[in-house]
Amino acid sequence: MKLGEAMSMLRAAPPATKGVSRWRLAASFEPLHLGTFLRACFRLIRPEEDLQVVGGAYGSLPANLEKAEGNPAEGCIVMMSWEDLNPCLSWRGNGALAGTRSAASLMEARQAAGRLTVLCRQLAVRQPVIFVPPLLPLPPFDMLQGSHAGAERAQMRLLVAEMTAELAVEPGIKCLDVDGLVARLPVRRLDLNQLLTSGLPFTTEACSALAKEIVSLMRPPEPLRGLVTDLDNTFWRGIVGEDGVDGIRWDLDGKAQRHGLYQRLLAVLADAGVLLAVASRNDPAVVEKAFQRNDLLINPCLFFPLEVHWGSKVESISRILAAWNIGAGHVLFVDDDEREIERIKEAFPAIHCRLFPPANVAAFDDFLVEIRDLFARGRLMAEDAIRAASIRSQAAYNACAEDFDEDRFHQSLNARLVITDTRRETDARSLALVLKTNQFNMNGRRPSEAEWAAALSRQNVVAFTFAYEDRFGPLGRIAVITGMVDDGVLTLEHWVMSCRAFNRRIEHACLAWLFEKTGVREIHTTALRTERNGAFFNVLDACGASGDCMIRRDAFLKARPELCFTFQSA
Amino acid sequence: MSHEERLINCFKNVFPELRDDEVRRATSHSVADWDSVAMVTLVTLVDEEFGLQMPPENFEEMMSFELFLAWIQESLHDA
Repeated sequence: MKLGEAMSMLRAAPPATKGVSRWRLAASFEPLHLGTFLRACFRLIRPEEDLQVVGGAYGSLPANLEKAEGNPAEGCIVMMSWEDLNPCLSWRGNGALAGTRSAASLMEARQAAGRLTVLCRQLAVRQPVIFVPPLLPLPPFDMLQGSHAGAERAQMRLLVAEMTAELAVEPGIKCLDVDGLVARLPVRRLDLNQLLTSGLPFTTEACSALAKEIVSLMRPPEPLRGLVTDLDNTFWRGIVGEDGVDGIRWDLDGKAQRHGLYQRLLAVLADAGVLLAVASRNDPAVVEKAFQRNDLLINPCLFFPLEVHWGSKVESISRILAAWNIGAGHVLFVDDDEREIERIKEAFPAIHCRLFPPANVAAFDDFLVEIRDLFARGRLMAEDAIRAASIRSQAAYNACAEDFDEDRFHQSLNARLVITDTRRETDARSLALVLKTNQFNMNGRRPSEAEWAAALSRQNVVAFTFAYEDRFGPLGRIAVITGMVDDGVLTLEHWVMSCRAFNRRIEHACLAWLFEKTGVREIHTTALRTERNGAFFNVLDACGASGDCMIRRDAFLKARPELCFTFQSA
Repeated sequence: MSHEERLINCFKNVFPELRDDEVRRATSHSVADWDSVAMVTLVTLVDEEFGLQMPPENFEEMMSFELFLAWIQESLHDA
């Protein structure tokens, strides 16, 4: 994007209906056009929101970080330059250059890095931080060729790498992968003329690319949840029905390493809780035999459901979505047949589809990277590891439920709810649930991380996360309720529950526990209808709520079904 | 599109409240928002639009739309 395009886009942008997100930018240089590009990139992915970038005093990154800590915004972008480690590495200053090569100078840089690390950590306690390591090359103030790394340059880079690694493990900090950005950005990054005249060191091309990457960390796309794969010439090389179980390959010797890499990526995704399923037009008995081969690079048990038959893949996808209970927009379909992909796209316009690249396509690594990125999530949670297993157990649960009287079935479940006070425990899962739950979501409100933290720090607030387990296995943390208690009334602000937890009377159990725990006589739900939260209103009716969405204790006790739960505080 | 029209677009990105005729008459004295940041932004937009890098020593002379236009026409003519 050019600067003129960014400015024109912002001029023509409609009013931001969802308000302004305020982020601080802490750097020792003048951000200038970077702020414009950040706003433009932000509005491209969030047209209904605007971004306000608040800069700091030019010249001192530590001072800007201290100022940012005292004035929390929605988040802070920390952009580091080489000169923040050693002023002699500044293009605009005139410090003595001899100092850059001494041991004392390296020690000074190490101390500066340590101080910046502490400041970033302190900042991240109160607001999300995006840390951007130096993007520009080191100034040519040594006597080595550009192609010769040498000890001094390597030590400076090591210092930044260590600092980045230390910050990356902090829960509130995301670090930008500068090496990756440089590799993807084959353009000049330093604009020395502009740096000397205005203080902004980057070319507009670099500014634009940098802004795009920073915004993708500020507002990461929601990761997809499930992948449906074809088998022949996708999961393996060959057609198992023609080549035989021993004729299909996924190894280097069989000239099929691309399929092996794909299998390994699927194993990584499964390990991170991504749901995997198969949609293949094949003989199920043959595929079953192929799945018994002991050199597969992923355990075939991780695929559920297996839709292997000669029928339509559109029907297969329908059944897979029903089994997973998620929308097509959360799913990627991978196949080597373009016509099949067209049919799936036509039937499920929201689904993501990728063609497994033909053998003559060179950039197979791009395909793998793209798939990884579609499912990328910052941090893995315990629920990610049990999601696939819980969907599989849901099938067993449903089959068993059909054979029992409803009350007797619930009595037999040995259901247990473990409740965590979310105000005390830093819990990324609770906010993640609020942000991604659609069907059972009281009002569809999606707070930012800073808003969530601020809301939970108020007096009289209650905030609980519910984890569920029964004899079919654990579902993990599946519900979040927050609200304010005042004068015997609990006014809910958020109530969300994972769709995996539907039809187990968990919502009734949560309400029963809330009435008991808070001692209130009424719970006011502040429910708002959204396009997709019909499931919430169905439950509301079943809980004895009045027309104004108020649930009175006595009405609830009359309306609720029999509950057989054990409650436990975490 | 003429050089003048392309330069007007650049100016209107920086001073969106100005009409075309006001842009043609714009000077650093007549436009309140014409500060150093606006100046640097104008220079960058001109670089993008015309492929012309203005030497920093010329910045202080570029006090009006007319002077910008004259510099662009002269630079393109020389090129």
